[in-house]
Amino acid sequence: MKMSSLLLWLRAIKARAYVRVIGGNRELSWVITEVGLPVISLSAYIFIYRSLGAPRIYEGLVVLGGAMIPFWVGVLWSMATQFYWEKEMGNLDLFMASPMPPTALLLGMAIGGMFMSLMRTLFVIVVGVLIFHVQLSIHQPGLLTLVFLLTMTSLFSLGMAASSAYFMVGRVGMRLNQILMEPIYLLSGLYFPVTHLGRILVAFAALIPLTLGLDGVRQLVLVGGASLGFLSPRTEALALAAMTTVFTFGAVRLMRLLEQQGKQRGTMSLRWQ
Amino acid sequence: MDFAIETADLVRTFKIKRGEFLTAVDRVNLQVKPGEVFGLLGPNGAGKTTVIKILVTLLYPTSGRAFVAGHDVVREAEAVRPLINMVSGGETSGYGILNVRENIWMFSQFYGMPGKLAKERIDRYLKRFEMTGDAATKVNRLSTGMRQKMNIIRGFVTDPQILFLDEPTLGLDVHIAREVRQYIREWIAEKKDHTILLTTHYMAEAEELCDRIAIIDNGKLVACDTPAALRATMGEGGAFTLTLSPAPTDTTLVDQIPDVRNAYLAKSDGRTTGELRFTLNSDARLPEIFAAATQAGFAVRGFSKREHDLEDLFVKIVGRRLHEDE
Amino acid sequence: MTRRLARAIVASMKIGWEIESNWTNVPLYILYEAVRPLSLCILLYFLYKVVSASPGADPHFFAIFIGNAFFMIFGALASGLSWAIISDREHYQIIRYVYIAPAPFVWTVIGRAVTLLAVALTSVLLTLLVGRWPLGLPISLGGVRWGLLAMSLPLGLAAACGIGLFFAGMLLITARHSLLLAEGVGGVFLLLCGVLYPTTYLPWWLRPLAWLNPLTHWVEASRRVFGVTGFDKPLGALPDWELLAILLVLTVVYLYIGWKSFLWFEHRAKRAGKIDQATNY
Ligand SMILES: Nc1ncnc2c1ncn2[C@@H]1O[C@H](COP(=O)(O)OP(=O)(O)OP(=O)(O)O)[C@@H](O)[C@H]1O
Ligand SMILES: [Mg+2]
Repeated sequence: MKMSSLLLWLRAIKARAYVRVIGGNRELSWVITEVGLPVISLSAYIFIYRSLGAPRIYEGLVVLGGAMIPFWVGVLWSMATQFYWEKEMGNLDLFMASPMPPTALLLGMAIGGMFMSLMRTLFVIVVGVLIFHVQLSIHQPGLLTLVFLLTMTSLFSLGMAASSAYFMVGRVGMRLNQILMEPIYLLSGLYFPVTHLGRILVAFAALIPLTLGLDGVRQLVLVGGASLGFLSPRTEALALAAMTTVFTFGAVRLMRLLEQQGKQRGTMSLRWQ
Repeated sequence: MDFAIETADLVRTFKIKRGEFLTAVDRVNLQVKPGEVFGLLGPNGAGKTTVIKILVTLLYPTSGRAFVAGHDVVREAEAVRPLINMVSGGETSGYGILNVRENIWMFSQFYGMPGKLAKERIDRYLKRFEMTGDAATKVNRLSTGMRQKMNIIRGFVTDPQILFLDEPTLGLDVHIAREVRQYIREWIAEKKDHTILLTTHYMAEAEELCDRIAIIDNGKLVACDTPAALRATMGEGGAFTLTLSPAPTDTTLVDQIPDVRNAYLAKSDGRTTGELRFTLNSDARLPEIFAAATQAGFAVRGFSKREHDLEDLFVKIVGRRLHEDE
Repeated sequence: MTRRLARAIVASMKIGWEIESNWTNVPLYILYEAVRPLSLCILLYFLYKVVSASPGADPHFFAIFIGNAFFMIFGALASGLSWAIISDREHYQIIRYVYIAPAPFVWTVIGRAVTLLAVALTSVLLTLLVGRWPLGLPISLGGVRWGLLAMSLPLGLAAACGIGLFFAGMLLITARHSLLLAEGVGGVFLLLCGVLYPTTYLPWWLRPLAWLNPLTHWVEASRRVFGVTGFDKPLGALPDWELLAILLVLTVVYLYIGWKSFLWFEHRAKRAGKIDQATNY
């Protein structure tokens, strides 16, 4: 019994991830969107630093920030809005009436999206090294891997929690997404050391997993990066692990609440709200 | 005996505005046996889809209980879901970017079907519904009817013990609709203990497919029996057409005769002949009507009778016509 | 004909406004529209701290801030128009009905653009207010060159519409994720138009692209409106009237190209049957 439900869960994840990957590849314009644009907007920030005569390390900082954006965009645009889109498309009631656990849907989407995000990230880093001559050095590959993985898990679990929350607020969620892009770029210190924000703001910003993950990765990858860091990468890894736990717990609770509310009010399949 | 579907005093209300409620399903009691094709008929907004949504675990009842395959749909939703599937007319499920085969495959995976089995069944169904040629067509290129065929395959492919079909032939042409009905009959004959709950607005379809039919109006169950038994409640008699010359100008001729209902004038060329239609519960009044016509100076040029069918019953019970010109 | 057209434009502006804003009340909506540009300006402020302890007193930062504040109008338009196309097609699936309505489709899109521009202008005002107060930039009503503003602003908006039309057209033949493409268009032009740094910092092969772009000249004119000169060496050397003349010519060219290419994309989309083809995945 347990075995078969695990199998169901894995099959469902695979199927949803497949859709995401195939869907992405079938429309080839994604090469421009997924790969070209991040490099372009990142170059803009590098040119600012150059025009200001800032030390070279800031260019590395920008490249790494740009490299992490795809994951954040994936969480906001693919995961958080997913339930909402599925409902609007008329899929949600079929999904909900199937034996698949809803987490499979979200994880499938996330894992499928991760493939593309990774491509983007690698491309951005290659461009950073080849064109902008960013200097990287990895001394603690184990810790780096750990910080990166924990960043991913905390982002995914946040995305799952967000997808239920967004679903409940309907169209406002999409708006929230749009509105949150730049403020989060600002708060998470994508283009400058997060310590610039000052004590109060940085404490607030640390609640976003992207902030700590990015800060940790920068310290572990950039030559001289440790001098710009906020907390030690170890502490940050610990905090990210804690976030993953909290978000996952919250996501499961929210999903249950969503299902109950939907069934009570009959809003599971109402469209155009 | 265990029922495939059972509801007990099922009620569902929706809040429309502050303090204003609508009772979409009103104390409905259904008992569907395994192996049955059970039809749910009713006018638009009667509550058919709402009943189905409750049964497929998408909606909580406000009160009352519902069981599918012996499991409570509220408390044991997890146990119900692997056993069922649902197809609605005009649904737009799936992803436009995938092709037909991939879409069906994806849904089969959400039921945990092993890959090989899924592939075999999908191929078989695509062939059965003559869609093999469209298997690689992207879903957003499909016509309405092709799309509905795909949905129907999606419903059958997981081999559900209980299948819910909400207006499954909506938007299908005559040929394909017949094909679908044919397959439903084959499927139920082959599977023995599998069950189908079906809603439709086509009376002929209900009559052809359903072992039993429930008529639901304003959320209430108003009749439930086999099609033959339901028809029998209408008694003998039927719908009559009398062609008279010269054309009658009103229906007073038959209005005076007891038992005549729903009399109206149809198809008149204005001068020479005209048609008078009415329903009658017993043929015994016919001589009286002929006599009255002759006496009023009409010549009877034609006469025809149509036996009562489900639609007449439906009209009688629901008091409204579904298709105004039939 | 013109009266029908005018009515169609007004109607589509109204519909556009209602679709964009009906989820909340008007002040909240305007605030919402201002959050993105505002946070970008504040982001620049913190970024600038790398080289200066108090960016508010630095004329170079002032130049960046003003340029960015005006440039945001274009960003809002580009992303807003793409949203209009995508959500009509994928979300409401009403694009086919909008499309077959008697008003030419291109005018419906322009109607939406005008609505978006009006809202974007209010967020520019808000941004300037924030620049004045917490950031302490030298912005004052008396220092504004109103005449120059009155001439450059309409041209800049028209140019933005031209470019917006081009991308809206492109979306007609591409998939849903080109939403991100649209979001990114703002970034590309930000890179190219000498908003955040003088155009001379671009690699030599990108500079002609910057100089042939009306937005570059519009941003320079907007900086001059607030008395900032000498930010960009080659552009800064042009007298006002010459700058405006170049802006005018480029705007006309871009509007023409935007208009024509929109019609062309529309034609392509129709031929390929893509107008109402949802691409969700
Ligand atoms: N989520 C909901 N919120 C409010 N009212 C609803 C909701 N779902 C259904 N209703 C109302 O409940 C009533 C029954 O609807 P239902 O969809 O069950 O009818 P139906 O018998 O399937 O009709 P049709 O033949 O047109 O499909 C209708 O009046 C409908 O407006
Ligand atoms: Mg219905």
